[in-house]
Amino acid sequence: MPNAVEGGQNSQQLPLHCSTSAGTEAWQLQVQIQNNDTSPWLILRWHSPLDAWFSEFLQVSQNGQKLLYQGAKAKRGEPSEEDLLLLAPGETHTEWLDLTQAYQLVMVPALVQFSPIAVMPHKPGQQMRWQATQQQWLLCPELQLLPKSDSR
Amino acid sequence: MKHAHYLLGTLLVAGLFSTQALADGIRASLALSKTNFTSAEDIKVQVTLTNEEAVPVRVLKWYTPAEGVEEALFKVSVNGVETDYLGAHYKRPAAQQKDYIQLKSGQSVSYEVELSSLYDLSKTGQYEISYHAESYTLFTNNPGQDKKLARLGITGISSAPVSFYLEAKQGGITTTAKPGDGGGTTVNGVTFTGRCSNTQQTSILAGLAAAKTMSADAKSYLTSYSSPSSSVRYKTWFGNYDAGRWSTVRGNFSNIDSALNTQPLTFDCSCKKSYFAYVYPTQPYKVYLCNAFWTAPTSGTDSKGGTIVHEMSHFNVVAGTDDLAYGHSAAKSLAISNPAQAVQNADSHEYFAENTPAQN
Ligand SMILES: [Zn+2]
Repeated sequence: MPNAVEGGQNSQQLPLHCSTSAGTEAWQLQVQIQNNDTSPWLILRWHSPLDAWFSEFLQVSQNGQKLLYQGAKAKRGEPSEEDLLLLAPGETHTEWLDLTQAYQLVMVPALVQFSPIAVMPHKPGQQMRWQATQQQWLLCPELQLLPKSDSR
Repeated sequence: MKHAHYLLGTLLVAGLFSTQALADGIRASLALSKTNFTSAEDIKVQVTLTNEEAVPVRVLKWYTPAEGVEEALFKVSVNGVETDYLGAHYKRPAAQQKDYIQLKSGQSVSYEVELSSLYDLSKTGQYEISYHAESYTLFTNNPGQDKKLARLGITGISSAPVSFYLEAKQGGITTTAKPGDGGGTTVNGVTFTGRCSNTQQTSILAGLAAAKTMSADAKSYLTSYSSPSSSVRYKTWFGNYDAGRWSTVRGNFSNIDSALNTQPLTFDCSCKKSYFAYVYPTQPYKVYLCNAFWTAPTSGTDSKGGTIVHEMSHFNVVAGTDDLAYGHSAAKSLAISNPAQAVQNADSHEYFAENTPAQN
């Protein structure tokens, strides 16, 4: 489980908010990141729900056992612009995840825990560049998913 | 009455000729920079399409190299036997106006196409190649018009053949071309999929050789270093000495070394992302190489060799590492702050193996 909370600060009073909820289909979920600030923020896609499935950014367990991650793991260099998402003031970004794409689930409840998401304040009009020294961590609440019989 | 008949006849014939002329109207020609290649080189052919009609002609892009080769546009044979196309075949919706390019009368367009990533060029011999694009919708997406063209046999663009001699790689080469998946070429136990060009294959093999050297060195260092507790090299990447963690890392390198030397490895060249590479840890031993890999040095920090070591370490059957910290400085910090995570981190293994600048 990648949780390299190195450098930066883990701020409780971030003006960003992450919420998680179950989707309508079996083993689907929704992650929403909301910017309540008056200025924009950058989100590093790596190891976040915006990176499905090129890193292990979730811990999914059933019956108290961590499930094997079956997605990809990528080696990366420095974050480039394509690795960043700009979240404007007041904007909400939504990602849908289908756990069946990376985990083999059985028909019992699943606990989904999220790696902290790296975020950084952004000055409007400036070039989008990631600076590890300004990085902070956004936490997303864990989520309990109940099995649904797949109607297909 | 007679006069009128004559006129009508002329019009019909003229109409027929102008359509017929369309068949020759787009001329394709091929040019090669030289006629002798080795399989270490890319084989680039210049394709020129010229509209020799007096009127503009529209051509369906999919059957030109305008946006990369997305169909079997060439006929390629070696010693008289046709070779397999390894590239993509696209399933597409019906062609629309926007899918056509227009060539004005007399206008030419040229494209450079690299052949070794598209066709099976694994055999030594005399190759002959010609352009051969054929489709009922090649010149029009108007169903009435294309039926008429089809009746007249006007469906394609062809070129005269050009030929070259290719000296293929030494060693056992087998090709398993499966239409649609990009096929695969196996050279000395290493398989290439996803349209790896000759130069890409050559640089992968150089990177692989570097990875083998690095992992053998790392393994022997961890097996025989006389005083582990004072190893600066170990401490830099994995933190304070601990007998259990040292032995974990030694086991990891023993597995990496063994996998590199004894397992069937596959390298895929289709990734166009900015990453160095990625793998599915549950699917050994296939490594997907991405943009940053191609510009990396063969050995040293963040090199091709090191990237291969990094990716091998991810496979669950090898070392099952994670990506907890990327890059030299984050990996060094992790070694200090959390040695238990450092021995789980892929880049820490890579940097220990690359050992650049060298430490004892
Ligand atoms: Zn990795």
